[in-house]
Amino acid sequence: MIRLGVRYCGGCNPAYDRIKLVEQIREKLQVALGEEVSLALLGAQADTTLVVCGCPACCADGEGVNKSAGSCHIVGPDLMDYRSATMEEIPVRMAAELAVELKNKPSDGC
Amino acid sequence: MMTAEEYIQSLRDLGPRKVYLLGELVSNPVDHPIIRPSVNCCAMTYRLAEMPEHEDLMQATSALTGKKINRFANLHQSTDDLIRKVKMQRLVGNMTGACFQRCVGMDALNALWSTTHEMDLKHGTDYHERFRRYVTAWEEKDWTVDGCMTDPKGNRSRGPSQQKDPDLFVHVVEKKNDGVVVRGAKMHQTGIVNSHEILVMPTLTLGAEDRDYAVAFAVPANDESLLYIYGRQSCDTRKLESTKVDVGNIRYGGQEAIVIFNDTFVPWERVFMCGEHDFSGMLVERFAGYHRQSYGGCKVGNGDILIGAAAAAADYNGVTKASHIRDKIIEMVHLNETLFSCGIACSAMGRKTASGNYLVDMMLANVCKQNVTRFPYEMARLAQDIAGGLMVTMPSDADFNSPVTGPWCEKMMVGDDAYPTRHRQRMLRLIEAMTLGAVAVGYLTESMHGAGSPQAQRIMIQRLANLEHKKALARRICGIDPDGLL
Repeated sequence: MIRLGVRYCGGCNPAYDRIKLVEQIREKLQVALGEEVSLALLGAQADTTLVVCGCPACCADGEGVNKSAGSCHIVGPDLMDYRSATMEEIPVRMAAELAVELKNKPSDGC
Repeated sequence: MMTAEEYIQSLRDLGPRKVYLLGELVSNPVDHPIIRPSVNCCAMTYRLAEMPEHEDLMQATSALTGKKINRFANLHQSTDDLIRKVKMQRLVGNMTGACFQRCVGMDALNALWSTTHEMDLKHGTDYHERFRRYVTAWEEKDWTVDGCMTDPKGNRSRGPSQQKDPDLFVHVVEKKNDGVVVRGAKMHQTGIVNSHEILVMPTLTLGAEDRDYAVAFAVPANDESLLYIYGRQSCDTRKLESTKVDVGNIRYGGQEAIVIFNDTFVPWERVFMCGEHDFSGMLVERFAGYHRQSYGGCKVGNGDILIGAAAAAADYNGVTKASHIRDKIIEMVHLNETLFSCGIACSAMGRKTASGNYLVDMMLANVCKQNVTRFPYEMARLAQDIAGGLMVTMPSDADFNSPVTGPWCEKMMVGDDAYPTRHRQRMLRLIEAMTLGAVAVGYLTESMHGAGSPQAQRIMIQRLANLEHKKALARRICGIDPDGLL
């Protein structure tokens, strides 16, 4: 089972449904890997972690994520690891990139 | 880094350029009396960087070489860098009272840095590495670079390729093994005659049919193909008079010119976009975002001077204690500090880009500039209200100096006699210059149209407003969408 860590920003002005985006990424990652993917909240062991930012300011970053939480990837409105991507593209592209990374572990920490 | 004197000499060292002003070729732009105030103004960005008391704002550490550089050549490495940029602009605005012209290059630098990186990721091009080499030279040589965006545009209802004259937007007319040939023009180019380099970007989001117009490149300012036509400013010929008092801002000024690219050859090493129309929108928006942030610094710095001039004029007029005058000064301060707040806020809320440099918060940068299209005008109105009509009816300085009229001017133009009449004369001329003279080009009309006209910001604000989220908040509060929380 893969543990997908999640760290949310505070959510003062979210431009999209952050919880829904995480679920979309989890589902697509599960399909891409062919195994179960569960969510792990901040502090728990994880194979890789999503830092989920509600607005372009990206207040949350990888600094607060435990080193045992695997690699960090930031998603935000039209943003994926600070690269531009539409909200429709993000679940597919992020899941695909995470799948490649997890198949080729070990990865760097945050 | 260059000193101010070295900068001024470096402009002379550019050699002959085709600069036309008032219908004549200007052989020595640096020392032309209409142009020189703008040279002094840009030179202040070098002078302040030499001063230990301003080093903290004016200098930065290069992300490329680790060397100390002028902040006007800096790739912003943090939100703190973005904040220092705005503070620096307020400082330089304070010291010049006019547009100091160097921001547009700094903003183009940061926009192209992140856009070329993302372009390469998608298209497999190598623009970012080319640009890195260009920026390394920029930092090392401490250039003033003119960021060029605004095309003539012709019929605004038509795109670039739909215009009768294809040259109304800068475009590639020929691709060669060693580079491209471009043709067209850029309008309203702030500080271009005071620049060492010219950095060109597209002016709007382009489609596939406008691929030839999706071009970004750099050329030396003394490229032989370039033709410059200097823009007129209100009251500009006062700078040709023997006395400078009537100019208002006696040492500094802004500058705009048209630059014509008449089949300009650009080697590939200096081409940073060529046909990637799908990244034109990103480049335009990021440049605009940075430049809209800039106005939360430079115009605030100029605004400080206008507030000071209005308060001094109140002293000279003997109305300092009138409650409505005090209230008008407070209102001016409130408006000016609101602009500063917006400049700082969009910086503090900035974010990292994939390339590593930092980008402002686009919503707050657009709100900043939208306020800039309004508040300086209200401040100018209040300053004119306080100054009184004499600001525009006062005789010339030549009349003050005349043996016949001078004594009458001195006698009749006195305000509170605790202050010299000549001080009142100068202060009213400064307010005139800033609100309807040569400096008003930068302080008012540039506030309106520079970095995009008001509607451009409103379109961005609409796009970024996240209305669905706000509607969902309202639905929850009034009970349409109960969620079970408390």
